[in-house]
Amino acid sequence: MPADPQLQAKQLSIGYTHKGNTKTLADALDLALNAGELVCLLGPNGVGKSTLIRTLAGMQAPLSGELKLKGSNYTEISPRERAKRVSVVLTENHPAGMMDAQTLVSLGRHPYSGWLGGLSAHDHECIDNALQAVGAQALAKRQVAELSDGERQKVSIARALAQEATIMLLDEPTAFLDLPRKAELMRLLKSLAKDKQLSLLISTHDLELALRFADTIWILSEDGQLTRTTPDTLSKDNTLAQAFGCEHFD
Amino acid sequence: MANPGTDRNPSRTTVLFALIGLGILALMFASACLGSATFSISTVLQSILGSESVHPVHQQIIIDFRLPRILTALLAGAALATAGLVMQTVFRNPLADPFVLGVNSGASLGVALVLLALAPTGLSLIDGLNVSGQFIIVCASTAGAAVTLFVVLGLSRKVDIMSVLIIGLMISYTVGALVSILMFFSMAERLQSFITWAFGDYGNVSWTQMQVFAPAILCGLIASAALMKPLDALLLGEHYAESIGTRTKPARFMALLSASLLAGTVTGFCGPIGFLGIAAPHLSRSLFQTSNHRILIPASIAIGAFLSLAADLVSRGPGLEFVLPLNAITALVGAPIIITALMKQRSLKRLF
Repeated sequence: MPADPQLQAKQLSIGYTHKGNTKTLADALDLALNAGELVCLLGPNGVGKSTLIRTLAGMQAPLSGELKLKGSNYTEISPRERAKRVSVVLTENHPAGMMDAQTLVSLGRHPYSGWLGGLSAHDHECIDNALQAVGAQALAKRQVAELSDGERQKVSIARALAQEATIMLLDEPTAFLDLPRKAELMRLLKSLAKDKQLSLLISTHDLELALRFADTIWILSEDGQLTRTTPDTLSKDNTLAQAFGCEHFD
Repeated sequence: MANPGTDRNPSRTTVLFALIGLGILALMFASACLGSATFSISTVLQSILGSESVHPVHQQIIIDFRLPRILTALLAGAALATAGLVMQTVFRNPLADPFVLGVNSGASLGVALVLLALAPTGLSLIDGLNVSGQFIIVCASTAGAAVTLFVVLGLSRKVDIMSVLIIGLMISYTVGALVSILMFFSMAERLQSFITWAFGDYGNVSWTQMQVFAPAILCGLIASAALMKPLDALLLGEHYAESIGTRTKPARFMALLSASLLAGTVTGFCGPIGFLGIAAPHLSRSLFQTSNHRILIPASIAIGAFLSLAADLVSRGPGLEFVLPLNAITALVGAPIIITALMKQRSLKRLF
């Protein structure tokens, strides 16, 4: 493992605090995301995959433990600075109403623009590049509400790309897509990780896709344990069946 | 500002702004010329320029009555439209209007308390709305609006944004119920003066009161315009807004505060004026085909001012002997606009 990971967590404990009751979903997590690495996060429903992603994105405070972005503590980083380093694509749809794809992507430039949000020539270049990277130039002037699920997902990823963050966290980006679209999206994400040396963390239920495209696989099991493995090892052992709490996984 | 990437159609935007600007200008002149006495455009211009040739009484009517009324209509329309736009974005709800946080009902309670409960102490609006009586009404409604608002904002700090909306509505109902009870125990003539206030009227702001009214509205408009970037971010929903570096809680609070300043001031001086706050932002979105606040804020200001002037002109009914309730006119104009905007887009998802 390279000495300086993009994002590192030590003894991280994730979950919720509600009215004084703490619900811990997983604890003692030791994680690292490296540049150019595509990590797939697998696990049964309700085990805390989304919570882990939100915690790593800084949207939700960890219950305890240490979270570092390139060596600096998360709590010391301003929201704006964090947005320059970490971008997210969430399961929730963009509720964008009357907005074309280009405008949506341009919102990804918010961490860089002035207080009134004016865009520079460089910003426009980033927006065009982001649309091009996901192959969505043709959608630029289309209204977001009129796009198909797959197109919208691409535009959503382009918006995250426009943030020029080195870490991108995606919560089930392949849900709602048909099989060819899923593979196409994963291929795209894989090439982004390699070409732009991004660290990608993707939560998914598609085991097959994870085995095919991931560099590293994280499995979050029902007892809150996180197992790090690779597609090669995973296809040979029994980790998955244990994590999903069933004897057979076929 | 040069921003080719985010405008859907820059030339269309410019043409629309120019047309609305011309429309406002035409309505301003119409409002100055028409009324209980009709003047020619040259008389109006000459009185503004202080020419000796105009009859002093005519000059007084134009300078002291019509001009402040026109300015009030412009500012009130701009204020309600901007407040409505901000509320709709913050609450992610197309039906949110400037009054969802109870500003309206709070102001009504303030006025009702003064008119209905304190009336036995000798205060009455019946004797020709004298200056001190009017000033008390303005204070009462502004104070009522402010108190309700701070109760709602105080409660809202602990809950999510949809709960704020519901809490605001519930407090509105509660305060409305108190007003009804007050009305039940009141004498008919005092009820009449309360109802007159509730009709809404732009004619209550004199040049003296304008010194408070105009700066308050301008402050609110500038504050709202300064929030255009976080408002754009909030269109994506709270989580995404945070992920692109927006401090959502302070942004939301500032947005609600400036919207309330706008709505509270207008309600205080002109009474509760409905529908402009919903209709103007929807018409702006529909005409300018964008959700971008850089365009929507100026568009709502212009369209709000336009609708407000038009409604006031209609309510004074050129050629009629009486003044129709302004509130009824804004509803009659506003509701069809919202329906048309929806029909044109076929679905709320595309409109909002």
